[in-house]
Amino acid sequence: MSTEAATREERKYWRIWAILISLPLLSLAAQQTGMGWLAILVSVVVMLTSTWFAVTTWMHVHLEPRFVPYLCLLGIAAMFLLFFMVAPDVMSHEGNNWQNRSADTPAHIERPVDPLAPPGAAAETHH
Amino acid sequence: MALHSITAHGMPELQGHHDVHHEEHWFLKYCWSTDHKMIAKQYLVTGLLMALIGGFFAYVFRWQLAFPNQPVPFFGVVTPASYNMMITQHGTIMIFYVAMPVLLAAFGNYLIPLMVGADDMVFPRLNRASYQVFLISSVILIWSFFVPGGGFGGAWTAYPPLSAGSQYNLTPSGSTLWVVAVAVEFVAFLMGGINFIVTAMNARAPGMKFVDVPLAVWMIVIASVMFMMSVGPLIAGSVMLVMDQNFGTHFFDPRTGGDPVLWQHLFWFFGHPEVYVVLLPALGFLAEILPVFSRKKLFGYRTLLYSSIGTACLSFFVWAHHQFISGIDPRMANVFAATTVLISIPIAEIMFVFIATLYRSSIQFTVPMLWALSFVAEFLVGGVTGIFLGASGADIHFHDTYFVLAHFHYTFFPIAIIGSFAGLTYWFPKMFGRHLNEGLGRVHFWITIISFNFIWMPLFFTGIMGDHRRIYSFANFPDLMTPDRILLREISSVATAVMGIAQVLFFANFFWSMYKGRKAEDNPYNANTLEWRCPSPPPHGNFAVMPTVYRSPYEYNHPDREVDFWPQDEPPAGQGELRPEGAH
Amino acid sequence: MSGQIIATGRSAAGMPTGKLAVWMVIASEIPIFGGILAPYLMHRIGHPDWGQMAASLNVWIGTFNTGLLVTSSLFAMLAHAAAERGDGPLAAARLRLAAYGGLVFLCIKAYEWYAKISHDHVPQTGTFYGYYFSATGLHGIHILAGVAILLAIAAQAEKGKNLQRVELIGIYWHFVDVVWFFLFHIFYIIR
Repeated sequence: MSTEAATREERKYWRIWAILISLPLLSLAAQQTGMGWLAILVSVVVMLTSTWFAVTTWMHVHLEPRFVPYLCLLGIAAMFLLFFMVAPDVMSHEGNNWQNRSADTPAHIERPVDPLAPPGAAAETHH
Repeated sequence: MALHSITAHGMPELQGHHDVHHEEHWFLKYCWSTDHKMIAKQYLVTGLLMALIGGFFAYVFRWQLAFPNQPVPFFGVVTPASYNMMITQHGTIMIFYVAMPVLLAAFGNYLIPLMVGADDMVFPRLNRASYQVFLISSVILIWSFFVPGGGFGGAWTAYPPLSAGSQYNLTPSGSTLWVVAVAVEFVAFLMGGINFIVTAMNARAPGMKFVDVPLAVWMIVIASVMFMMSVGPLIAGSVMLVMDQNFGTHFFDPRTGGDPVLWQHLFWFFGHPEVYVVLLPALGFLAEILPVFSRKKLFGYRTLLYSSIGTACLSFFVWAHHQFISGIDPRMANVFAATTVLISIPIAEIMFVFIATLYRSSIQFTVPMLWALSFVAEFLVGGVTGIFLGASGADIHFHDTYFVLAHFHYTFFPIAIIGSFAGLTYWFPKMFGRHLNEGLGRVHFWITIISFNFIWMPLFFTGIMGDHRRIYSFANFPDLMTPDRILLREISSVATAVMGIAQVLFFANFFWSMYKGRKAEDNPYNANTLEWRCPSPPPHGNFAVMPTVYRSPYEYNHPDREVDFWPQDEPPAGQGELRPEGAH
Repeated sequence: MSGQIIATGRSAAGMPTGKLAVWMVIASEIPIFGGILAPYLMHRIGHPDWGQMAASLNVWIGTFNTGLLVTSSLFAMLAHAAAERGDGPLAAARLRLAAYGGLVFLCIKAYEWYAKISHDHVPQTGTFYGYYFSATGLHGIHILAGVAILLAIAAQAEKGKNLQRVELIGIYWHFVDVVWFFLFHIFYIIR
């Protein structure tokens, strides 16, 4: 690689760096201004965009054989599968002959309950 | 050709390094070697030793179940705590410390470089580290039996809250050590699995296309990919469980917003693909053994391959069939029941491929072939009873009975024990350069198979009659102490002892043949695959001249040939000898 | 082990062996981090009240740490550019800068943990903190391993050896970065 091409390459990395530095600031701003749902939307977009930039321009995934991104996508797909097949159970607080009452009224029980723990070991102080 | 013989750094490949081999210190040779064959043997020996421990536990608690509260010969009286500990550790040992290291790690290490025509794994030192981490995890597991409170006894699935709080399981250190041992082992197999996949993908001999790769390699690679994709959540879950046990978190505690069902999901998201992770290598061994001893081309290479990939994909969609009565959403149960029944299709297809390979062939009933044939027969029973359990309605009746255990052992015994014996007896001449004793092998085979069926067939019936699997002493349940049930349990337990004793034959045969057996030729079975094209046992570096591959591994009784086999690396007639890779 | 392994030099899949292995590591890391983030997300969505606990995290420190990791990744990238020119010492210097970035990240993380624990925001007081400590701890272990490998490869690159490894550790380092993007947004930003 010629020195000139190398410097061009390095300048490109600096540009990506500038983008990746400013993107989190964007989501920070969205959160600080208290935009509610919009802030969440912005941060998800920022999260995915910065991932996209890092993966394509720094990790050079497009220069690898095709199976490499597919393999990573397979892992991500497995996680989506895990999420969507488990969420109906974990997120529902009642089901066949059971009801997760403590999950519905967490304010009262959001404390450790450990009968065998020595007194004082479990943090009992509120903030 | 040109692509293959150039290394990543543009250097031509060098001559194999077997000629610089010299006598090493025994510690370097047996314990610090980076040779894939020695690491395979390390895995094999460790796995066999662990199998002895797991088998002894099985004998002890089976005896307790048949003859409750009487002293067990060679053990003594079984206390409830030691009973719980033994069933838990039997499951853990047999799956994580026998099936995985023997089927996947030992045979994967031994076969992949030889079968793809490479001189070693691509990362020999990573390979050694993988075994050492595995050894550490085995030591942690065995250590956990002797800590105060004893070994963990909350079943090998470790469901919280039983596993999460020492006030429930009464094994404050044993349970943590158990989780740590299992998690460390996963790290070891991740390292090993990445090595397997990369070796099979990148280090194939020149000319070896995807459809020329022997199915044993394919299966181990598919299994490794499955392991890689499924084990992550359980590693994360292990971290969470250790924190629940020791740092007072409540990930799996509903009182503070956690969820015990979450652990079950994380466990079985790995646990079910795990069944196929160990099944596929065993099927791969069959795909090697059946064509060789029926002297016929494997029926449907691609069918078998695609069915296996289909099984691998589907196996990610079935895990919650273990949780039908643990309060999961009934609508999800329907989905999982459907996918579970669906997965029997590719598995049945694989069985048909094996049977079609045997059809109108000239079968040689050697010992490995006997094991392979018995795999097909016994696994069929396990597979068919699985359909009862996969249907969520029927499962409500069968759940947690001995029917489940019998089904499970009719699948897992063929996988872990029959599959290992098939592979071990088939590749023993290559591994140790000597033949096993055929007669002793047959006796061992028949005693093991017959006693196996006497162990588990009765338990299908006691299970249907309602014997619950978590009962320590049936004497506490007079309703379950009817004479017919007692008889069935006694048959099963005596058969367990018989099977255990029969393994003496195997070990005697194994060690006697290792030193005194008949010397093995390079290719005693007239097989095609590359591992039979190097000396028995292969030296450091495996091949004198690195092979080039010309054809699929299953060309037996080809019409154009006078001999009934056609080695993968034999140049086609008329083409002449190509300059082999590595030759000067 | 003496001699060169032929198998390591082959590339039947069309890419260097080391790079293939790094991608395999990344593919197997995705389910590990996914396995802790997916349960967290479903619990978080089910418990809006965890927002109070999420608000106690210091978002400014989190943002600074993000910038730190991105900058560290940039130096890994610049090291790769130097290694491609065959300039081993420059690559080594830049790799070391990347490693120091990781170390500073860990120090800030340690301070953050210390602040949390001294305010009694410990895993015992809420499952949110349990997830927070587990996930950032798991990520921290990866940073620590990355720093060690960066320094080891820098030592080799200094002598001009194994320059192709500079790219490999870079890929891993960017992956750790990407994981942090997710952790940062999911734990710090989204309340």
